Amino acid sequence: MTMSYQDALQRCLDALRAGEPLDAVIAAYPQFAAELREEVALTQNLQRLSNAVPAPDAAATSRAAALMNQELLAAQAAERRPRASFWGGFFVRSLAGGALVAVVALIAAGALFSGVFDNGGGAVEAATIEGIVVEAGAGTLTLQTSDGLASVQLDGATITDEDGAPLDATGLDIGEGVVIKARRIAAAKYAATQVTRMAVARLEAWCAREVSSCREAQERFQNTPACTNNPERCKAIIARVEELRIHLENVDKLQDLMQRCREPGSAVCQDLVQFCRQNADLCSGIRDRLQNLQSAVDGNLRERFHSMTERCTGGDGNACADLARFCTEHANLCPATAPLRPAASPTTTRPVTSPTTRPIEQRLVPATVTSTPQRSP
Amino acid sequence: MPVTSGDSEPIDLPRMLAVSVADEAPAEGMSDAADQAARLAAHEPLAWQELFDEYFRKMHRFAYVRTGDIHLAEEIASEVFVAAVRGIKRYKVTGAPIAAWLFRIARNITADQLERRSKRPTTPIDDVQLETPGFATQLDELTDLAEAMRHLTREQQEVISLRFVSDCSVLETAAAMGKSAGAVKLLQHRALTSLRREMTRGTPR
Repeated sequence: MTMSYQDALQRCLDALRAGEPLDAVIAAYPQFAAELREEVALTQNLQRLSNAVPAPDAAATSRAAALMNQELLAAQAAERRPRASFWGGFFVRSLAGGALVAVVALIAAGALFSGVFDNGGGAVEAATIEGIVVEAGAGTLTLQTSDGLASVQLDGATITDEDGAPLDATGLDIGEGVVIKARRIAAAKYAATQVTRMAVARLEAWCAREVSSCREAQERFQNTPACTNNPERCKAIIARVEELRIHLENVDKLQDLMQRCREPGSAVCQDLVQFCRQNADLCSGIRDRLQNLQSAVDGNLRERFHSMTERCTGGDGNACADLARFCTEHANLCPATAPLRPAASPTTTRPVTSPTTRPIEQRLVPATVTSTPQRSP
Repeated sequence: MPVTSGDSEPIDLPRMLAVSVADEAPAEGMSDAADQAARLAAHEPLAWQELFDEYFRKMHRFAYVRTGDIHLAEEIASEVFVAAVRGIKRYKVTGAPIAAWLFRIARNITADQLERRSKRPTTPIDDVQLETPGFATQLDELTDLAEAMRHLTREQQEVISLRFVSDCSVLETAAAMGKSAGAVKLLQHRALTSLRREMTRGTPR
């Protein structure tokens, strides 16, 4: 019975899969009809069970794709060693043909990716890398760069601060930002020729540009063994971490302001411009956009100014008070001729004097008003 | 319990990558399969991405039904593709679909993971398999079925998972399990019969 029953079951399953009417297939095997019905129903339940299996998490899927691509790139790099030019060209062609390859995965594998082309036994490549020191060992630094971790050998390298003052390798501690001119000797491995320790402002600017890398570096050296093995050194690291933490909070604030500034008609743009005036280094990456924004904000402010001016000169005391406040905050946008009280008000005891000769602070002192209630600026 | 019967072995990449199809290897589609295998062996990113897109979910589903652990299933599915990249040079086109090769890897990695987990005193396999909230408890009407699955032998569970959960063909299942198509049909029949018997018996929850 078993073989023929198995065939009958298989026919039923095939019919089910093809969406064919099951009854007709079962009818062809009357001797197994009852058993077939039960087992087919069972397989349908199993398929329902299958449909109920939760989908893998999107982040897990991306991680898995990234891991696969890393492995792929490592395999390509390993293969490329004896035949660098062929595999380099091959990989470029592959990538050109493979434009749809998951961008996320390739980004995650960025560090390896960059190494594929120069990991062969051929000529080394000059490179300039920037990053934060996350490990400092004997003659070697591990950097968090925008492409991931990079290992840098310091043997024979000139080490200075930004002013050109010479440093020794001990001056490059965990948490320092560095700019390194180097020869690339393998994937994510470099031999430094010149190392420049970043000034704090430059490190902050780097962090502002490379927010996720900066955060990654921070997480790494929070858990560094150097911290537990050497409490004194740890203090310095913690202080640096704290500085970075505050800095990253400012980065968050900047991003939040930028995000909210995109909303139509948002007054937040003004705050953004103000914030960037106080944190010029942090905003260096968005300087161009900021200039446009500044123009837009100034345009809005000018519009507000004209509106308040019109209402004030039209006799609206509140508008005059608003205008006075506005002129305190935006003296550069407030012409000396701005009216500060209702010009046409019959209750005004004296006309508004021409303020052109008066500094703005004096103009903001309310003129004598007899009866019109006015909010104090 | 069949899953923890001790027949699992530590991961042995060459073993898990060695696919042989005992019979019924069709000539049709061989050139497509060979072309795909060549592209994969040449480490073409696009070919790998296509493979990943097509089979990652299936590997995950297979591993989930076998382990009942969503995170472990994600880990296994991920490991399958890493192992596949590492072993693609040893893959030989035999006529079996590439899926069979992937499922074979998945099957071995899953067995290894289950073996490791069975040795952890805090997480007995009997308490985990097919009993996670995302599976049995969310599916009241299917709980009996999930429970009954636990009483099958490891091979019966595998054939059910491959055939009806991962939607593999007999040929794919055969290649993945290293059996002939006839043996798979027989095993499938026995698995379904056992499953039906367990359900009739009313496995206590």
